[in-house]
Amino acid sequence: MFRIPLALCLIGLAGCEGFIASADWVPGEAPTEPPVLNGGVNVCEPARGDVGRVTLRRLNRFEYDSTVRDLLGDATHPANAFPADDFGHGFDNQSDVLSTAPLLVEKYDAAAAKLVRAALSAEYRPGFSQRLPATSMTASVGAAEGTAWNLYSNGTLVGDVTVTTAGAYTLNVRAWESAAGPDRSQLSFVVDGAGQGAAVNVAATATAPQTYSRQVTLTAGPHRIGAAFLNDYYQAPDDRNLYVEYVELTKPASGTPGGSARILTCDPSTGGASCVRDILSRFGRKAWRRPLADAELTRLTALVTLAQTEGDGVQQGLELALQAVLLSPHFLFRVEADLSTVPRALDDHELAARLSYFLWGSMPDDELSSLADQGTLRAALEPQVRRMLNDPKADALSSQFGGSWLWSRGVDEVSPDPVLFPTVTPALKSAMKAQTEAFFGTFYKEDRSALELLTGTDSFLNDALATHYGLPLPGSTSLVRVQTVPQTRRGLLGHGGLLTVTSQPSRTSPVKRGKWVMTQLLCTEPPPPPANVAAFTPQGNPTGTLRQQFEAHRARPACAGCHAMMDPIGFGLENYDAIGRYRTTDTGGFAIDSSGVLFDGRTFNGPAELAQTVSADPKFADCTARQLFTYALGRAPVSTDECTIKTMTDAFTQNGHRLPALITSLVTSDTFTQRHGESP
Amino acid sequence: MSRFPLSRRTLLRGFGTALALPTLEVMLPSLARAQTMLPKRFVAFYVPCGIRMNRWTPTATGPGYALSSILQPLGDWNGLPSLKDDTLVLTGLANRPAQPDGPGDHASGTGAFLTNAHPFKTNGVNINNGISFDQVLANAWRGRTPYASLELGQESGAGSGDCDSGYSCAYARNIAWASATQPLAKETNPQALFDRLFAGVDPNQTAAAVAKRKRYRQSVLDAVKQDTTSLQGKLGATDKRKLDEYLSGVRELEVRVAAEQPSVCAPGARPAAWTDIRDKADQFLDLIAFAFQCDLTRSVTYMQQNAGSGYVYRFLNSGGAAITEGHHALSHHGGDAAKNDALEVINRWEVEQFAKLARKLKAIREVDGSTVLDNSALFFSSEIEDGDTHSHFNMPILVAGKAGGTLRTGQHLQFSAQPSVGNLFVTLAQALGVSQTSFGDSTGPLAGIRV
Repeated sequence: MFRIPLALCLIGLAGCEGFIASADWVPGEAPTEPPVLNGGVNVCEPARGDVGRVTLRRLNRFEYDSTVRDLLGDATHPANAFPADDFGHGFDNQSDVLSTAPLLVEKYDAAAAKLVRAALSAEYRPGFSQRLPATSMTASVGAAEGTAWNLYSNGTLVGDVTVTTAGAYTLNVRAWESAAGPDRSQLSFVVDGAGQGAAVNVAATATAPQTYSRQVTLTAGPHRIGAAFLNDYYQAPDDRNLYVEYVELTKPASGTPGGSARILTCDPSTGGASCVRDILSRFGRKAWRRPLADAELTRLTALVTLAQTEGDGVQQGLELALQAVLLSPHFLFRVEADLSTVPRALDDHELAARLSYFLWGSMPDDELSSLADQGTLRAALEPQVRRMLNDPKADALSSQFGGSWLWSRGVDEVSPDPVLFPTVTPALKSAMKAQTEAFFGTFYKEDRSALELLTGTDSFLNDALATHYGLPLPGSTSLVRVQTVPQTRRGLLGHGGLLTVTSQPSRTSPVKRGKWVMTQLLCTEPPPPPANVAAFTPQGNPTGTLRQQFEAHRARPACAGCHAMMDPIGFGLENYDAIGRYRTTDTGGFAIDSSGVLFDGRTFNGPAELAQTVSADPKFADCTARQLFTYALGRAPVSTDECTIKTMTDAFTQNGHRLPALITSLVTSDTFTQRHGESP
Repeated sequence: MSRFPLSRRTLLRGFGTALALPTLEVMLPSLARAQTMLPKRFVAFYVPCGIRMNRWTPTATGPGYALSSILQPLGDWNGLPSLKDDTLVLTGLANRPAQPDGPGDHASGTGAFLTNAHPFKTNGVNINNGISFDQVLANAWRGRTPYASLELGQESGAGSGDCDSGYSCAYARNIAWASATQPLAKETNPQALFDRLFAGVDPNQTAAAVAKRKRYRQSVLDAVKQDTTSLQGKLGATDKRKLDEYLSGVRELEVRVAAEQPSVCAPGARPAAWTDIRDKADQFLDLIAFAFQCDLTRSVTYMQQNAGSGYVYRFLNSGGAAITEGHHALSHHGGDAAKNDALEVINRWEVEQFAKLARKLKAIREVDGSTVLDNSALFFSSEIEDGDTHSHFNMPILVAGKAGGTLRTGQHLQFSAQPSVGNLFVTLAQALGVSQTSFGDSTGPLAGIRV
């Protein structure tokens, strides 16, 4: 890791814009961790390596919510009510930092009771959707025209569907007409030969077909559904015809997906003790991410017996047992047995949990679990990583890993001055955050070079964001991919979220921005500012650019050492104001000079060159590996991890800086697949 | 908000609704005990980023001192009764262990706020501090109330970024520490706090149903404890400690389950949604008063904001305009007059919140005619002295309440030799009836404040 001679900056500095609240605080290193000296030392000598110990990991709030979503189908985010998880090393999944206060146990108790009650009472009814293309249906008259059926005289078009659940459905008919005569075409909805309510007038034309809908009530079983044309008209050359593209039957899902059916694998009211044991063993297996021991299962079934002894039903007993499962340390913590100080291979269940919480922030799915049960996961790590990265659950990597590493999660908390920046609305902030997450997502989904994090020509925009950036509107309130954006919006350094998070409420902060580039992208810690610092105070009536004011400030010898490192990077981004809008003059009306020099002497001119310079820096690859390691293992790398970091970095650079290659290298390393404990 | 002393049958007005409060003696085990041993209570009130000291420190000392600009809310403030005779202003106390290793004063000062211990500098492994004063009291009083302590605060914490200069966020967000290694997370949602405190057992249930529910809950917790105990045998020292944190939470829950009974003290409406920290402060302070009145707890910590908070006090005016810079940025005033003025306004607002709580407690009468405030000690301070110097000497400290007639309030005491805040905590422990001869780097009790 690159280090600055500390002496330079530790000599009684005063008067720097140093300490910065939340995001602006300058992190230092624990004095107990000696600097890692890489040069000239073979970090991969066996004597220097160690697989390390991961402290018992409690599920953090995100992981708890994701786990109950996958386990119970519950999307209510119960962990919103939990106290916030403390951060360490920039992430909120660091096991040594995560503690368990009595308040949290109380919240776990309340959440478990609520989750179990909802899961057992929710009767899930799956949705239904079946579309019949018109050309596949049976018509009494007409002819196919393209993908549609032309009902050129009065007649019907019907097809067969079978529904398994009685109830309300929606019948949709995609149609248009060729207009003729005084009236519109009349379309009647037909079920089993009977018209369903009044006919509708079809005014849509071939260039803009419309979907006409009717609620219908169906019994379970086969039905013949379709449409009828009621008012044919022909006065040559005027010809009124009804065209139908398809007929569709739909029903939205109701209840909690999976709900009780997911838990009640047999009917406990008739199945007796063996059914209860089966239910608890299956549910426990999922919730505890491993098969249950007999004694554990017996402890749970005893709760069902207790309820029955008390005169309550088996349902009440199951509620108690399921609460005990969700309140158990085996659910709330990711347990890895920890008695031997000799490194050991993780068992496949422990490994499956490490993998799924790393890539999904959630529990292993059926496929991972069954590989673990068979003991074949270890041999299948690479294909599993590929599969898992393609699963929508891998969005956790964007929101949690990317969001913490690149600070997009911080967008939620920033509050730019509402008088100076009235255009910053909650919708814009959420688009800013989503932009960075969506962009980050392409790197593991599309296997692209991580260097493009800084230089990629594409971006994600919606109308609010495009307006903010002064770009053409994509015509969408949700984000859409734009393949080529102007130079000023390419890569992370052009993202409004980052630029806002690294600003003060009322002005830009070159220090914060410079420090972000150094610590987050290059893992180079600027030496921390001393106590007794006087903050930089921008002049209300400036006599020079912010840059000139800062440079005067930096001329104070005490500040020069550190600020000479951070500020010139941040000044490269002065073309972006405190909410990330592009500008060529600053608030004082002075022209922006965005030239700069990196702390290692490389120069650049403007944001684009800064992005090129940083992405070309080998420290960027090394830093990406360190950030990923810290997130994946819930602990920061220490000197004995340097070989793993080097192996990861090599795999990363040799594979075109593809994140999946980096991830695979970590996942298949001894550090990830083994552990050693400490003595009790 | 209640503005005047209330008799015990008076309605308290909170959350915009009139709330009927039951008489205090109902909550006490017996009237006889109440008369001989009124409960003593403690609140720690934390504000971040230091104080503008030249507008904080009264110029005179002793009983006849005049309130400084920032301390005005303790006086005859907007027609409210003065708290000056109920309050001690203490200057010249130091929290030496709070001094960080290198930078990091906000986190280390916050970690040491109530521990008077030296937080070990780490971003992750080996978090180490000391037990906090509120927890010493909670341990001494454990079992007398459903909640041994309550940890409350406005801010849960940022979603990303660093904490302070190599110190984990655990130090910057928590002032209550159950042990050297276990910070106690705080409740930041007044509605959730209300639900925890008052949404107890349905009063319409039969005694048999309540008893059965208790047996059920106890059995679930028993099963969970067995899981935990058998797991502990498979873990190393650090993991075991993590599991111990969890287990002690389960045990506290057990105590509460055992004590559960149909609620006899229900202050009524749940807090409404809040729009900014003013509403939220009102709601939290109301709930602290309710929790004391219903004797649900006796030890409370409240963080007005987290360490080094960047909150922008837009609702406050300074120099004829709304404040637009964040609190932390302002606190690095560099001698700038406008920034100092804004800090003064913020500090006065903070003291006003503290005074609001003291007045609420002064408005609740005990059975012997004294007030809850008379029998409590409320401690107010910040993690540092001045925001620019980050000093841990000459800390800004208030103590409101007479701790059962044992504190000589109504004076400003200035200590010249910078004794430890630990000395104050030792003194407060004794005043609150908890025997404690040393705390943190204390050297003995503090002279001049005991009756």
